[in-house]
Amino acid sequence: MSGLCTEDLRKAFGSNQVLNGLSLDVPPGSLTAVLGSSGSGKTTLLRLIAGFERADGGRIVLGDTPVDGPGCFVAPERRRIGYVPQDGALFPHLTVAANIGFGLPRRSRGGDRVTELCAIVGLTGLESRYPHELSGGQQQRVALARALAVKPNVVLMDEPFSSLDPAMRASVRADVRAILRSAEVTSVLVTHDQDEALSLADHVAVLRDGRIAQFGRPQELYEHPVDARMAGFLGEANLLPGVADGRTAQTLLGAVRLRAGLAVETAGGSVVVLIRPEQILASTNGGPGIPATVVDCEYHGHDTVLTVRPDALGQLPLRARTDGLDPVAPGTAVKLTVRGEMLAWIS
Amino acid sequence: MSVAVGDPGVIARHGRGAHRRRTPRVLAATSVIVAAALLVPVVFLLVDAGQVGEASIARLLFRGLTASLLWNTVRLAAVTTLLCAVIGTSAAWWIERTALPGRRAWAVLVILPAAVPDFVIAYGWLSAAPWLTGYWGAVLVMTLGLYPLVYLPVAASFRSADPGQEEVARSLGLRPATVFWRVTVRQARSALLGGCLLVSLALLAEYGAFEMLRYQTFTTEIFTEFQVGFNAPAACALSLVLVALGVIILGGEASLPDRGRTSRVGPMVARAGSRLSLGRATVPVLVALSLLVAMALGVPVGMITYWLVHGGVSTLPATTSLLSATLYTAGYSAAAAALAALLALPVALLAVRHRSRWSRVLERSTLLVQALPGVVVALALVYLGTNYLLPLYQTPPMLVVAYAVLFFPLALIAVRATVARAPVGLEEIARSLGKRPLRARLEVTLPLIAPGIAAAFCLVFMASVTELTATLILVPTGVQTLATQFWAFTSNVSYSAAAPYAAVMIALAVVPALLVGRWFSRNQSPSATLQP
Ligand SMILES: Nc1ncnc2c1ncn2[C@@H]1O[C@H](COP(=O)(O)OP(=O)(O)OP(=O)(O)O)[C@@H](O)[C@H]1O
Ligand SMILES: [Mg+2]
Repeated sequence: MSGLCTEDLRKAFGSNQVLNGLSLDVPPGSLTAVLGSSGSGKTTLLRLIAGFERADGGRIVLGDTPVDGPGCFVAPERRRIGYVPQDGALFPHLTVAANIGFGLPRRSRGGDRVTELCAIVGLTGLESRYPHELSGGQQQRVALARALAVKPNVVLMDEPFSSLDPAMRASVRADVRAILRSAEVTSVLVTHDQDEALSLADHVAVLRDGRIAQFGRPQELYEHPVDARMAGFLGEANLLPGVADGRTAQTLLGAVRLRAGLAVETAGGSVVVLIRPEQILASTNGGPGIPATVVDCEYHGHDTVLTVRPDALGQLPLRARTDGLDPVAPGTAVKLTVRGEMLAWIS
Repeated sequence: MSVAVGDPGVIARHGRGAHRRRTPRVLAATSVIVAAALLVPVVFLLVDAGQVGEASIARLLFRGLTASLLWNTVRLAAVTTLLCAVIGTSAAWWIERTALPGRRAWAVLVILPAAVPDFVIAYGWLSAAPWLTGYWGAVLVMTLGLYPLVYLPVAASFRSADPGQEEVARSLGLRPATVFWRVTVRQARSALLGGCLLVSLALLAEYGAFEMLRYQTFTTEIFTEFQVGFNAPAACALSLVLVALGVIILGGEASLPDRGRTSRVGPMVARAGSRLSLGRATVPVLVALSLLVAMALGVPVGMITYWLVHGGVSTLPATTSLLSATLYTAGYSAAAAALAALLALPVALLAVRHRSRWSRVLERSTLLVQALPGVVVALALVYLGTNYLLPLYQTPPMLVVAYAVLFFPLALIAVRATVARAPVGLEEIARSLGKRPLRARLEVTLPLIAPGIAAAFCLVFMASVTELTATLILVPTGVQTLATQFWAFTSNVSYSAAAPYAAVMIALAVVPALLVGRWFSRNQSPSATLQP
């Protein structure tokens, strides 16, 4: 099992600088998700790691071996990196078994390894089908089995679940995670779905402006985003201007408590405060709080998210949760209360 | 060349980075050699012209004859191309987009005339209606012979076009006729232009049919000057004009803006659209199609059958048996087809997989051959043979090379289309699984483009079997092919003796014609892209 590491990776297409000094350290055996918006360079990063494209600058190191860098380039066929592209890209002229066995030496193509992999990815019995006779999820699993067959050092997956419907996505996701765990292989998955990244991966790296803006465990990222923009990217966020003084900040929602140990605690002055929707409670039964009006209500079944506009503050809409489970009609008057400790950054 | 067989969308999905890879040296070198070899005839035409001298060429060209040949050629090309465009597009639309009864049978019947040489169509019509000569005879015969060149690409493009666009246009309130003009025809535009280009170039190159119909064009005159008058300088001077006409047509087509760009969001699998009901127009359409098939296929095949059954005794003894003529024809054509398909492969790979300014120039230069009529290629090879390669002159290799050069563009179209739809991504996956570049290409790309190579073989084989002009000039000494023997008989008005040769020629060409028709209809299948 070997880790993967990129240092100061650069890649441009013409004048479009896609990767601009990207450094990423993927621990051996872990599943790391690279999260980035569409067009941020996720696919480009994977293609560089796989060796389909050459970096303009920087290094890629696989285990202890440099595979791309100044004066060094290892061809893709000698990197032992499994690649599962965005659309699966199965060989249309080959059966499932032949697809999975494609990278194996000729002798072992019909042998146990293929059977074993079919069993691992749950495709036993479908060995002699052709790709067009499979469902999207099955195709995805064949593509994964094909990549795993050659016992790769690293598996790269490019938005493997984006072509699946939501119901299927959850089960294929769980399958893939279990398969990768049991194969004990270092893997990198790119996605633009923050939910997917946070729920699936051991580590998440956020790709922004051509570099990794933040790297860490999902919980660290969600709870300690490096800046306000990151907070907005990882989940819903209300960002309010305020004035900090020690561990309290005065905002449009009144005084809120800040978390301990923030940089603003000593500096003070004008700040941006992050309040997650679950930290604003909109109560329909009166009581204390800031009066507001419901603008919109999104009913999700398991919870209800409101867009509310505080009466005193004019335009500024906020996202909040209700205390009840029933949908709330727009126009309803509510009272907002804020709970918990907030993050804040100097603005 | 813009016969719209390749779909740019497919390349876009998988072909990212293709232009960034370094061009493999072997591939580049082979392609350059192929292009150079293809341009040999042009070079020798120019060398030949240089020896004739500027003054004599000017004297030979500035005659009343040139003007009348030019007028004959242009008015024929304009009217016939227009008719082919109308017939080919309507037939394609009826068969691919409407609920016409018996569509599958019609789809086969309307492409069969492609397997009948134009001079055999002329033979059929002349033996039924001997008065049918001159301009209108030429227009009729050539339209019937050439409309499949428009039908095939346009039908393929109708089949692959997104029916969603028509549906959206309807929902925006456009009437069916308006939808046809503003959406459907636009979708097929580049295929239609490509087909018209092929038709007009074929008209420039045709010799046999015009000779029988006694209609004089540049090609017939060049042939007469060379073969009958032994006037090589005059033939050369007229060839220059003919090539210039071809280059003008090619250049005109290439310079047209907006050559059928398509963009599609989402899965590349085209849904089968619902077909338009013809309603009360069904019967007239069926009548029109029956008439077309009767005229293009029924008349020549019927007349051949008539002569086979009622044939008298020929006054002219055959210099060769039917069997040996068949074997020679099949052998030369198969060799040429294999050679052309082989030569097209590196150029297609280079043009699709390693796009750059100079790979485009290279591809274009090989397509320039399209502007060279058979008679010009043959004369250039004669010049080359008699002056530099005497041992090869009038030997089988020279004839095979002539066919391969002449029909190279056909092979390139077919191979290029499949290369364009075989995703580059698959080769990359193969490499990440440990295959070296050449192996990856052999194991993944080759099986995927095999149908295109086969189609290239069929197209060139079919074209070579029915080729007459270059064959008459270059046929090896002592050999008769089906076309030359047929020609020898008809020149002596031994129509019944000629019939078996025409029948065998059609039989040899019909199988590849059907295969090519199938390929054109299949190659829009989404096999290369994998969407759930
Ligand atoms: N071959 C190429 N030539 C030119 N530009 C390219 C090429 N490949 C990618 N780009 C550009 O690089 C940028 C990053 O592309 P990339 O495909 O890596 O994004 P992505 O993060 O994978 O996006 P998505 O989530 O939509 O798949 C885009 O702006 C894209 O237009
Ligand atoms: Mg991508």
